[in-house]
Amino acid sequence: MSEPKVIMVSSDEERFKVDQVVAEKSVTIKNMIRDLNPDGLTEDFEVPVSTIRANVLSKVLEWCEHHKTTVFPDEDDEDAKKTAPIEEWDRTFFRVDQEMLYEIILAANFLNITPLRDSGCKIVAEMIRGKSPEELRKVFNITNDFTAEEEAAIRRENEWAEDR
Amino acid sequence: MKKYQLIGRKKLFVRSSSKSIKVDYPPQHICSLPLEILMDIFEYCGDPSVVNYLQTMLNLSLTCKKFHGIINRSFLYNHVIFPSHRSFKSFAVDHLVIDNTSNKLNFIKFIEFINPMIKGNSNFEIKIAGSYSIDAESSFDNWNFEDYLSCFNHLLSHSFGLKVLVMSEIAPEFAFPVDGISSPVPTSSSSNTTSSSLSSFWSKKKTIISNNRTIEKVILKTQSGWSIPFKLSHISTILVNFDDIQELELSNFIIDDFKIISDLSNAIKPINIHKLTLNSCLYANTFKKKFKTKKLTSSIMFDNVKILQLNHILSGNDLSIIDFIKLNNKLDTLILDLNSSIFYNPDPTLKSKVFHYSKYNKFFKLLCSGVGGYSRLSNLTLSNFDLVDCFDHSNSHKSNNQNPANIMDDDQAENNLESLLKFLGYIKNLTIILSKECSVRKVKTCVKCGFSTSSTNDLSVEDLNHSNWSKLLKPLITSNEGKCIVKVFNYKLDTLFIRDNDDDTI
Repeated sequence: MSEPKVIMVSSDEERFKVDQVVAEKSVTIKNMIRDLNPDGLTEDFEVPVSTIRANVLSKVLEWCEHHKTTVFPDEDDEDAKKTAPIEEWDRTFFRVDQEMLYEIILAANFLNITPLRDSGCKIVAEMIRGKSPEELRKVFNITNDFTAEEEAAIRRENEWAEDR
Repeated sequence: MKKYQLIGRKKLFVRSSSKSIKVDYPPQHICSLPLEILMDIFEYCGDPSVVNYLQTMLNLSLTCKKFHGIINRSFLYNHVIFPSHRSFKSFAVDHLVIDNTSNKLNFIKFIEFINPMIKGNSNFEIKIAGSYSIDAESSFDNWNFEDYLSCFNHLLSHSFGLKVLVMSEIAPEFAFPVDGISSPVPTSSSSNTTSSSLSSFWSKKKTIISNNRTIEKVILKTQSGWSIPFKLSHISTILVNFDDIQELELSNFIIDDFKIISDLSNAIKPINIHKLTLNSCLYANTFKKKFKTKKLTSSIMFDNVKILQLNHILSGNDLSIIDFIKLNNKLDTLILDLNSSIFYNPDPTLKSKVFHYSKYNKFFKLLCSGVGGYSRLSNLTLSNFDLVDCFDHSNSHKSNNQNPANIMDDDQAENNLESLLKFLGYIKNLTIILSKECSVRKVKTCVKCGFSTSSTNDLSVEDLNHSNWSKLLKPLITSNEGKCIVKVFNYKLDTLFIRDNDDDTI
């Protein structure tokens, strides 16, 4: 008899049947399985994920499948987390439009998949680094909601930080 | 009708101008991400000590109002570092204006001053081959020590959220004025304009701030390569602004008992330092050398120290600082860094480091005995302890045959881990924090004694259960009728073992 599977149901009712080890990359789902099945899974286990769309859930599960055996740095070790480089496979994985990138980060946050959330945040941080305010607004489609006076005041009050 | 008023600085709540633009972003937009994710993204933008990071933060803060608020509150003004006098002056010009103090001071939780200004350094002299009091910036003509001091005071008195103050690269000549804490000694020629200006500041400050103010941590570090005698003037201005210092951490200072006592002979304000942490600090017992027959007394500086932590202890003499501090009759907690080289046998013929039992078993026996000056000491923490590496399997069988109750009466203490553990069992609360190296070690179960460090049937230190630990620490938890409360943590401070004095599960 084959191993019981975990079936994840997206907000648009699409069903994804995955191995338990893949689904358990999500701490939320892992805890759910342990709490509801203390003796282990004996049959397929269905989890509705009503906040995540099918195309996003599919990407998240693709990442979980790829990293099902990966050992990540200790979650409590902030330095290790910060300095860990983004894997090449993850870089390719995140070659998506910004909307999808944010949706993956939000999904990882909801499902408590810290390494995926961290990789996504690092990708966004790389997009931010070294850019001027104008470039940042352009890249991220942000409206400048400062008045000219407010902008001048901010530049003035932050001068000390540039004066190093 | 009751009237309520928000206590705080008026400028904290800045109204948006009528011209401000309101923007609604779609859910899949960077500005719509939850705060905790935005915080993570901004944290990954780099290392705060790198200049580029600061530029990135400044650029982000100018992008939009949402980012401006997050960056100001959690990054730019949360953790402020002044690497030069110029940057502090620049900060002071915009944020420390008298009667118009900036609301950004409310966000400050951490401040670091690197190479704080010294008196007479205002014209930026350059000393080669001496202490490096260098700040060769010619445009700084009107910024002198008095200005620096006044701004420093203003910053401390208005940063109500400040938790940690760091002063690093302190030059040997560095000193704050000491009035407000200690009245000037009549013979001293130190009375000057700075002192009088600070006095007037202090009297003014008293009228402004009536509540007790506490700062969590003050860290002082000397210039690299220097060991400086610690004196009142290193912290006097901080003491003027804060009534309590929860922890004072000193790195590479010399604790000279005579200097500290004489510095405060005219103290006019009590000093409340609750925890003293010394990193690589030397102890100079000058008092005993000067007054051979006079008894050393407690110093006002350390009169309220209850917790003493010694890290990177450099010599056996430096342990005498425990005796100096415990004169206050309040010291009840001692934290010792067991990774300090003094605890290990210096014999160069030994291949690996071996704990110096013959020297330090007696020390710990006295420390934990609860007699004399150590009667108040009830908590001992041994940090960075490679306990498993110290464990010698062959000794364990030998010592198991002895009656642990007799150990404290035995003049000829055994020089091994088991005896050390037995002596430690006489303290009320013992905490062992294992070293990082220890956490990756493996131990094997031995039916007779508990453990050895041999390789078969390996069990990781992190995987030892309560029963395993009880066997390993048997000499400790059976000594002194099992009164000692023992806690063992790994280097990340995860609990590995707790043994209460009413726990019989040995």
